[in-house]
Amino acid sequence: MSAVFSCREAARLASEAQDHALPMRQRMELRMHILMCAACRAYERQIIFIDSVFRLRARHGKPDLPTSEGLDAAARERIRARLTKDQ
Amino acid sequence: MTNTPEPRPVATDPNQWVDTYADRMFRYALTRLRRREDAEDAVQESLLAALQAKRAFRGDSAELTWLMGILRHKIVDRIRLAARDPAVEALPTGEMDEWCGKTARWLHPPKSWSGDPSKLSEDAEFWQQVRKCFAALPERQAQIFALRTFDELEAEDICKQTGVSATNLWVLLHRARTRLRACLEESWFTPESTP
Repeated sequence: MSAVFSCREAARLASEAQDHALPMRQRMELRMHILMCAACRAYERQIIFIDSVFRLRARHGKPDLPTSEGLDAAARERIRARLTKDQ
Repeated sequence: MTNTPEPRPVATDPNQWVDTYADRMFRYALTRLRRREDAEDAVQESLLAALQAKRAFRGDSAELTWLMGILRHKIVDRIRLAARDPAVEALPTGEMDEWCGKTARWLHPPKSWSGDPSKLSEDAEFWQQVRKCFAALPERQAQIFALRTFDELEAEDICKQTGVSATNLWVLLHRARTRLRACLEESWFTPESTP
């Protein structure tokens, strides 16, 4: 399965590649491994998928996760009072 | 995504901020800080800071964007303060449970997922599941991952703003992604035909 290095290493580099440009050598080793390893290929696609689904939600104006809790009345009142005091 | 609040011509009345924006700000803060009291504090601090900065606020950006920018900075400040603590900054090793002992092979090899990210990004049921997976992440992983994805900050900028080293940042993001993908694979992407 592992051509050049371990799946652990490949997964780490696949993730790092989302955050900075890998040195040429590492990039080539990663591509080589991924070419031959279906699990790491799936891992790379999955993390790209996850990053992009989060970004898309934010672009629809929701940079957050759904929650049943809202700001409750007491907190709302407290903040409002504080703002009035400071104006 | 800049440090300076964008100016705009007419600022609306701060008396209406709580009614107009506080819920969205609270959701944003709660996603990242988790504890309701912390989220309430962050919203209050941000609105007070906005009040003080209001004179400098005249430009084109929407008021909400401006307020959310202030809130994001409050949250980044908290991450930075925590990063000064050596115990927090030193990452525990061997945390990954994905690996089969010393062989460094996948314990549960990732599978191919079907689904369209742009459709899923608007699927309420999917996000309920993501919420559970995200809540299971250690706090710092969650905060950093949110900055990288929801807030679309570059890794380099996250390092600059939070004081987290690049190496630690990559590790935190890798761990967050690995946990999220394992959780989502199990709870959402596993085909129903599989017994």
